Amino acid sequence: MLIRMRFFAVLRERAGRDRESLEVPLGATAAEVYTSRFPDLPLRIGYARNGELCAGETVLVDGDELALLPPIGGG
Amino acid sequence: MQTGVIEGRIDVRAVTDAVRGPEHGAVLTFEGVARNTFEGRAVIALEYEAWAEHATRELAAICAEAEATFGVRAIIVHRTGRVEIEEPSVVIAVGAGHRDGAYQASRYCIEQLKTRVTIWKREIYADGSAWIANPPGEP
Repeated sequence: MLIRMRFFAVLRERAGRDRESLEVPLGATAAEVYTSRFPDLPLRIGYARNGELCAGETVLVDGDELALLPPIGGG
Repeated sequence: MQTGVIEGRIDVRAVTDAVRGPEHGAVLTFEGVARNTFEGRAVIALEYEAWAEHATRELAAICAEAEATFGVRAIIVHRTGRVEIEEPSVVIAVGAGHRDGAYQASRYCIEQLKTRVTIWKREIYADGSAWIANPPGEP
C-alpha cells in the first residue's frame, strides 16, 4: 500500500525533503514504517496519522498520511 | 492578532493589546526569549521549524483550555525561522479579572506548549548547530 509521509526537523534534513510517498507492507504500523525508513536513527519520536497524534502501534491503511515527529523544542 | 505560528518578528504590543478588555484588571505578557548560551556553550541564534497547521490547532486548544479553566482571555504567538538573541520566540498574553488567574493561565500555556506543540528548535553556534529538544523529549 502507498502512504504519504511528512518529515520535520532532523528527519526532514536526513531525508533531504519534507514529504514523500512510500510503499509499505499491508498492515504496517507507524513505528514499523519509521524504523524501516530511518533504520540508523534510534530517536524516540511521536507519530501523527492524518493530522492526529497516534501511537506507534497504529496500523496504517492505504492513502494515510503519516507524520514523523522528532522530540519537540518549542518555547 | 490571533493565536498561531508566524514568520518574522512578533509584535509584542499587538499580542498584549489583543487581550485587553474593560473587565480585565490584569494583563500579563510572557516572552520566551532567545538566550546566548545553552549548557555553557555560546549560542548565536535560534531557528524554529513548525508543523504549522498542527501547531496552530494545538496552540488554540491550549488557549481554549486556559480560558475555560481560569476564566481568562489568552493568546499565544510562536515564531518560526531564525530568531536573534534577545528577540522573543514566543509571546503569551493573558487578560484576566485579577492577577492570580493571569499568572496561573500564563504558566499553564507555556508549560503545555513545551510538551505538546509541534515546533522544533535548532541552536546555531559559531561552529555548527544542533536540534534541541525540550526535556523530557516529548512527544
